[in-house]
Amino acid sequence: MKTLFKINPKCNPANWDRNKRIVRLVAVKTLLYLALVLLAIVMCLPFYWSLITSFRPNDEIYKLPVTLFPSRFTIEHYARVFDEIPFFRMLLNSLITTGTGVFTNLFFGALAAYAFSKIKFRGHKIIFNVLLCSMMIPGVITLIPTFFVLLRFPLAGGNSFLGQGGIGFYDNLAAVILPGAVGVYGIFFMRQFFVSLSDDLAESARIDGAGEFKIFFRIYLPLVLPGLLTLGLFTFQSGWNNFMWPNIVLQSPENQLLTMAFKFFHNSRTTDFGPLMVLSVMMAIPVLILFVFMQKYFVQGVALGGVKE
Amino acid sequence: MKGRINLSMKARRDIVGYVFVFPALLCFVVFVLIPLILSLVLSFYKTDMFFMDMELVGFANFGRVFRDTLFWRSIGNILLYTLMAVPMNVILSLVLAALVNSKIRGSKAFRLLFYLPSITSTVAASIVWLWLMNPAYGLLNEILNAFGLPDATWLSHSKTALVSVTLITVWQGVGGNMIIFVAALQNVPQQLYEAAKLDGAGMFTTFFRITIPMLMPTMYFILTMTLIGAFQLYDQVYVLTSGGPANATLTPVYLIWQNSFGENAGAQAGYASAQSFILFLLIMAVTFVIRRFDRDGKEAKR
Amino acid sequence: MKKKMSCAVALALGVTLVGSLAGCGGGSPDNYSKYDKDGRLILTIWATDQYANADVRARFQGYLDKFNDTDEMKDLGVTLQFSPMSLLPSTLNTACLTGPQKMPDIVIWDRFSTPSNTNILLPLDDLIAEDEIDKNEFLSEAYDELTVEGVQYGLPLDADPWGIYLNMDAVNEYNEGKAEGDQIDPDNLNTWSALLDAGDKLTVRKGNSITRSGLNTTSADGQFFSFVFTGTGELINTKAGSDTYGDTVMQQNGMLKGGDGLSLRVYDSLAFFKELYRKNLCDTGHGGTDAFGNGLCAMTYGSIYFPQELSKYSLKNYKMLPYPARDRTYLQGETLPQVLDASATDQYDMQNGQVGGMLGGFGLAIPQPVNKAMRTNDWKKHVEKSWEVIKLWLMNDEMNELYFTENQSITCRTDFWDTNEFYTQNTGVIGDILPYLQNYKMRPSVAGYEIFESSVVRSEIQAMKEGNTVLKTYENIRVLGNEVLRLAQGRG
Repeated sequence: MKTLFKINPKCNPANWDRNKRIVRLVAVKTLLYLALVLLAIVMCLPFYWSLITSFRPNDEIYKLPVTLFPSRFTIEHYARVFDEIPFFRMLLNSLITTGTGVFTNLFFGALAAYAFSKIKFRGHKIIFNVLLCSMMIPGVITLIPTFFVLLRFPLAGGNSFLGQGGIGFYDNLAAVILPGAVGVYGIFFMRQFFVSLSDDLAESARIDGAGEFKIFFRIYLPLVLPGLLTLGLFTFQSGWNNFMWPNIVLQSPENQLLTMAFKFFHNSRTTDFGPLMVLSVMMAIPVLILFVFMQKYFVQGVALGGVKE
Repeated sequence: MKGRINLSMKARRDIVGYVFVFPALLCFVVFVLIPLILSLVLSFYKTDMFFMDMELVGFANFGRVFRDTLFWRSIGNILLYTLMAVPMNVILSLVLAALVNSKIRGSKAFRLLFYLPSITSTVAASIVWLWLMNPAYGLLNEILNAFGLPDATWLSHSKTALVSVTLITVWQGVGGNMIIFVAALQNVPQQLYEAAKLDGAGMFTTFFRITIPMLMPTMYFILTMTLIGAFQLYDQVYVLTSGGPANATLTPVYLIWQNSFGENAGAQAGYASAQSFILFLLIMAVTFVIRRFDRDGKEAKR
Repeated sequence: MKKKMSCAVALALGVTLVGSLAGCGGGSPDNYSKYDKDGRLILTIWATDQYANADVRARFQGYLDKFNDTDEMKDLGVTLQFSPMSLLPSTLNTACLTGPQKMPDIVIWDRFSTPSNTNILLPLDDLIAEDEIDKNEFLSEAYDELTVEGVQYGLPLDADPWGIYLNMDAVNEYNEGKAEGDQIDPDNLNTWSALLDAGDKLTVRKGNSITRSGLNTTSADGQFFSFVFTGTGELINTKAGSDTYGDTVMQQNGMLKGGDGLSLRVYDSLAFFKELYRKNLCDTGHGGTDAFGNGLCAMTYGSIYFPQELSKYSLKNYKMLPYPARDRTYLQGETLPQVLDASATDQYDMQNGQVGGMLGGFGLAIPQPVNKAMRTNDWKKHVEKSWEVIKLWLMNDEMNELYFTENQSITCRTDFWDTNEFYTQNTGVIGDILPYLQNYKMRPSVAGYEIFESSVVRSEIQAMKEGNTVLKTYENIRVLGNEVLRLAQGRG
């Protein structure tokens, strides 16, 4: 059959069946695109709205009925954001806390995941299962005690060895970084990638006398790069949007994060949509850049990664 | 001689293994295990968030949880929410992943567009949704009217509020799950699809006979994580509805927050701890049921 | 690639280390004082995130600059710095736990939060007695809201009454060409009946839909306390020493007991709300500030600071009214409780309402470290100075005038209301509401009130709006309310 198609592509009446299939294929593709475009519109509408509102003049934002497109564009809200809050200081702090969090999560998470899947040390199953169970703990349980742990952290912020006398990590960026430094989710996520890779690579390297860290770092880590990048994106995004916790442990103006800037424009008394949407857009940009940058690695991931049990 | 070498090699591997997991374990012990134990201790006391003036009350806080009508109302809400949001989220993210993974032009762009909601901050997105869902001049009702449908009440009626919140959280949550599904889809061996094509299998048959079974492990992973997340719904409720109308969107975490950090919370931190442990037990129970299904499924396959 | 990766990891570790070390410079709780370039001691003030809003912040900062610049402050040798905080009082709680160096010296304190936060606020009784400050100089409701079990935790800063905002353009439009008897008279919009009537007149309908709502009923559930109060009822028993202290005052089925008629009046307020909803004066989408500001809703509710929010909208001509008074009973027909003898209502004066409403506002308080060992001499020095600042701010006439004129606030020093031209000549909402301010009441401050109000009262009223009967609503609030309050107060 295959050869027959190749010989007579168009004019053979025997191929009507095939032509029908082409028509069907076109129809399916059209439907597919239609579905995709519709879904895309629904998914993008709020983002579009943020973007457009950030450029809309104030007298139009607060006027009803609302229009899909502003009559003129203004950058007054952007000017206000840069003028009224220490934007770059906040940006720097957010980048420090989120960046550090991404690195520690990827590095230590992958290190632990590798140990759980490839070293198989004594007790690795029990320890892994305990970690796995801890994912079910609602974050709200440990909120108050975690604050105490940070406050009484030995030798931090003027504390004695027993954690007395000082302020620990209170009002310190470390208070945002440390509790999420190595997430169980990351370990679990990375382990799935390591499991799908063959053990032979490690065995032969071990016979060649390579150290375990070298095997991990030189051989396996490059192979799970797509996984690392995906996890990196997730970690970055959750750290970047972290809202409640920083508000509890940070207070000085020089220690504020970008998420804490919302209060300047949205609080119990008023809501300033313009600057609020500027913030929302500005906060989306770094994640957007990260995403576009990693897109090509998804394609590379075809032969490598994946989630397997 | 040989045996001794093997033994010491094994011991060395153990040590290396422990060294590798040490940072992760340290973080777990200090920031999960110790706080968890402290919280458990707290739940047996009547106390404020300072651990001051602590009064041992035994199981009284837990007893109180069972008599707390509002808490069980919130549990009912969260179960209903989970029942709606989790399947919707998992199915939709799978469909989106399949769509953007098909070899069509512009799939990368669509992938980005579908991921957009996930990167928009919750506060800002919720404010936009409030506008979209305004019953009087919101865009959604204008669209309904354009199709000849009557206005919907969205967030302003107790019958529709939870559904509306579900739509918003699903909208914001599918992007991340889609990414994981895409990664898993690309891991399905192409030979399987080619073989199916040769057998003359259609698109749907291929999807249900090959794609879905190959994605089962990922599916369980996503299902579990989405479920655990769903039980902790808070941010959207805080911004969109404050638990109303008529307590229709009151969630356990919202109540626990009110008891721990509310303006007039007072000495309720111990009680809030007890409430969160009950929530923990509930999440555990549901997760184990899911895992049971997972295991049964695997055994059936064998 | 590999080298880059190693570098990145090393960098990450470095950043973490530096981050942790940065925390080691915390120092001891002594010697934490900071001075400005003129050698004046810097005192920090915290305020709620309402003060984060650009206009409010600019205004308050402008005031602080002038205040700091006065000779009195220079003589004191202190200067004030302020920062708005999210999640107060939680953030203050955590700060007071860590000790003086991360604590503010003065806090602009939401008075309503006082009862459950007494261990982070310094009792001021000794200082008040020493300086012979007369509590009668303040609006008594505001002063008492800072008193818990006889101890004073702050002095009231401003009075923030809530009321009804009336779109005067809409009123004038309606009144145009009407006979005087048919017109809406904003000066006499002081009874429940008049409110319903005006709401009805201001509603513009087109077929089945409402193009302009007469009265915002969408968010009316949040105003229930004010209507209970203007109907001379009470929600919670706050009589110290009584057996049912902290319970709702409501009797089963709205029955009368002990002759106080309080439960009957709460019941009647619910019946009024039912009537409000039945009249259908509001489209569900017209509950927000934008609807009022854009003229889509003619009457809504707001605090004395609502105009700051309204400034962004086109509406400029509006007036603030106190909540109107009950003028008749709404217990009739289906809303009459079955167990209640209809003639029993005659025994109670249901026409005795008074205009007024809910009073909010802030006080000035001095936080203290929770741990007694942290109340060091340095901290005590700060307290001395902070108290001097508070006295200057509130008790010095000139300084207080500077405060309220710069911030457009109502001071709690009642003597100014009749004497200072900022008040006597005020043509804005402050002038509108000032004559009624003595009538205003604070919300009952008992443990669990927050949940009682949001998850019981408001929720049940929302359910009533969706169809529940008055009797069922009343019973639900009574039963669930008592449960919630008792559980929160450790009596359940």
